[in-house]
Amino acid sequence: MKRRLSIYHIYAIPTTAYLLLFFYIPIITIIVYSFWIGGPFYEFKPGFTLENYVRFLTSRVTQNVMIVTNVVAFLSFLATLLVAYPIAYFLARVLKGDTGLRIILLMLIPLEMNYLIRIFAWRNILGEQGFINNLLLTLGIIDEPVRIFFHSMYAVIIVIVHNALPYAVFPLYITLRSIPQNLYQAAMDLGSNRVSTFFRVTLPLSMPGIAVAFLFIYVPMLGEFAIPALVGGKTFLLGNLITRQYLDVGNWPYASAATISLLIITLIASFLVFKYMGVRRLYE
Amino acid sequence: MSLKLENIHKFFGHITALKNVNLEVNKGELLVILGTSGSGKSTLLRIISGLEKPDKGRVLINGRDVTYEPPYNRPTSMVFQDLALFPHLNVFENIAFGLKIRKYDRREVEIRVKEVAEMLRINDLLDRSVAKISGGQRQRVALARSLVLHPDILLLDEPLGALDMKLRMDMWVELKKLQRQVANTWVFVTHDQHEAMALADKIAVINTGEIQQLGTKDEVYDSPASLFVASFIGEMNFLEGRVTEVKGDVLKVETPVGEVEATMQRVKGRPETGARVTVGIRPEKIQITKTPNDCINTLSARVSEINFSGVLTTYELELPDGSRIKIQTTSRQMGYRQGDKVYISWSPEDVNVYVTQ
Repeated sequence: MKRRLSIYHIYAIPTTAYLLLFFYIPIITIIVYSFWIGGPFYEFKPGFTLENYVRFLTSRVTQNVMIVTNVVAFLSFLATLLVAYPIAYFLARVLKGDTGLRIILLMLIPLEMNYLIRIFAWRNILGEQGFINNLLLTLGIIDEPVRIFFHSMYAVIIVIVHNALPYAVFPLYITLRSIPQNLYQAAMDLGSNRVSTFFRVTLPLSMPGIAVAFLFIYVPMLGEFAIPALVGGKTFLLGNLITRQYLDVGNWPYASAATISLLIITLIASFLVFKYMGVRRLYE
Repeated sequence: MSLKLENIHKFFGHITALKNVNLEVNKGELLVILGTSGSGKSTLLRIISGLEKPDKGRVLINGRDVTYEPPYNRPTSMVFQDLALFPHLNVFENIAFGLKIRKYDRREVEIRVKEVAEMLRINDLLDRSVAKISGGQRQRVALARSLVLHPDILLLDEPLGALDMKLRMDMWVELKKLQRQVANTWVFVTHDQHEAMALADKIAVINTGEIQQLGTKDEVYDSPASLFVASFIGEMNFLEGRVTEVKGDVLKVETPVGEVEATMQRVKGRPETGARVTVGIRPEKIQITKTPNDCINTLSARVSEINFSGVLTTYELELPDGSRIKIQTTSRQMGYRQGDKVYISWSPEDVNVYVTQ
C-alpha cells in the first residue's frame, strides 16, 4: 500500500531531525566503532571484529568493575528510596490538597544549579576541612580529620542520594496519590492495623513508583563517572572505565564496545522493570 | 441486641450530619437504612464500622461499647459502595485478605475461601485478576471478602449501585436468601425504596441526619410516620385541608374537593378542630366506579390520563378544583377512556393524616 505524503508530515521534520542528529547518528557511530580493530593511543583501524566485546565481557578487571558498579548503583537506589519514601508518604498522604506538589517543585530548584558545582558543594560538608569533620573535632569526638566521609564509596552514595532525591520523591508521590483512600479503609475494616495495611496495601501498590525511581536512579548510575571521579577517591565505576578508555587510553573501539554492552544491559533491565513491576499501571 | 446506637451525633464543621440517632437491630435481622444522598446514611454506616467516630453517643455491638474501637477491632465488615477490591491481588487473595491477617493457616484459609466462593458461585474465578471480571462478579467478590470472616454485623453501602436493573433485582432475591443462610445481622444502606422493600426486615428512613421512622416494611408503608416518609416511600396522593370534627375514632377534614373521613389510628399527632392537615392516600387504595356509591369519602373526578405498564395500570384523574390524583390497579379491563366522568372512593382506614402547622 502506498502512503501518501501530506502537508502535515512537515510537522514531523523537527522531531525527526532532532532524534537523527542527537540520538541515532551518535549511537550508530558508536556501534560502528565498536567493531573496529582496537588499540591504545588512538591507533585503531576500520574493520570488523568481535574482539572488543569479547575482551570487555571476559576480562577480570571489567567484571570486577561491573560488580562494584552494580553494588554502588543498588546501594544508592536503596539509600535514596529509604530517604525518599517517607518524604513522599508525608507529602502524599499527610498533607492535604496540592501542598505536597508545591513542596516537590521547591525540591526541584537546587537541580537548576550546575551538576558539578552541586557535587563540589559536598566538599564543604564532607571534606577534611568540612562541616562534619569540624563539628566532630569541636565536640572532641575525633582528634584529627577523618577521611571516610570523603573520597570514598560512602561519599559517592551520599551525593547520589542528594542528586536523585527529587527523581524518587516525584514518582512515589504520584503513585501514593493514585491509591484510592477506600482501599486503606477496606484493609482496616478487614482487620488490618496501620502497620500491616502499609505492608499489604500501600507498599505493593506503590511498586510502580518504586520501579520508576529505580529506572531514574539505578540506570544512570551504571554510566555515572563525574561523582566517583570527584568525591569517590579510589571508587572506580563503569563510567570511569569508559571515559578513561575514550580520553586517556584512546582506544575508541574498546570504549565503544563497553558503551554498547552497557546500553544493552540497561535496556534489558528497564524492560524487565517495566514488564514485571507494573509501571504501565501508572499511565492507565 | 446485636447492634444498638444511642444518641449518635456527628458534625462536619458547621454541618450536622447526624442528629440524635437511636437504632436497635436484633441478631439475624436485615435493617435497611433508606435515605436520599446527603441524608447521613453512609456516615451512619461508617460510624458502625469504626471508620468514623461519632461526636456524641455510643455504639454497642453485642452489648459491648465499641464507640472508640478502630475498625480492625470490631466484629463488623463492610462492603463498600465502589467495592474497594485490592487491584494488586487476585480474586482468591482478595477474599483471603482478612483471614491471612488473622493468621489462619493455609489449609483453613483455602477451605473457608472455597466455601464462601461456592456459596456465591464464583469458585471458578478464584485465580482471575479482579480487573478482568464483570461488575456483577466483582460485587460477589466484595461480598465474599466480608462474609468469609463471619462478621457479627455485615455492613453494605449501596453495593448494587453500579449494576443494571435486571441484575439488581436478581441480586435482591439472592442477597435475601444469603442473609437467611448465614443468619448474621445485616445493615444495608440505599437510596432506592424498591431495594429497601425487596430486602428489609426493618427499614430506617433517614432524612437530614435524623431517623424519621424505624419499623417493619408494613409499618413504614401502611402508616408512614411523617410527610417525608409518606412521600419518599411508594406513591401517595396528598390533599390539604382543615380539621372540622374530632369525634371518638373518627376525624373529619374539609378539603377543597370535599369532606374526607379518617380513623384516628392513622392520624399522626393530635390535631384539634381547625388545625391545618395534609391527608395522604395510596393510589392502590382508591376505588374507581362509574356511578357514585354510598361510601363515605366519595369524590367525583374526570379521567385525564391512562397508562398501562405491564402489571399495573395507572389512572391520572382531575378533581373538580383542577388538582390531580393518581390511582393504580392491577386490572386492565375497566373500560374507562380519557375524559370519562367517574367517582372515586376509599376507606377511612386507608387515610393518613399529618398535621402541617
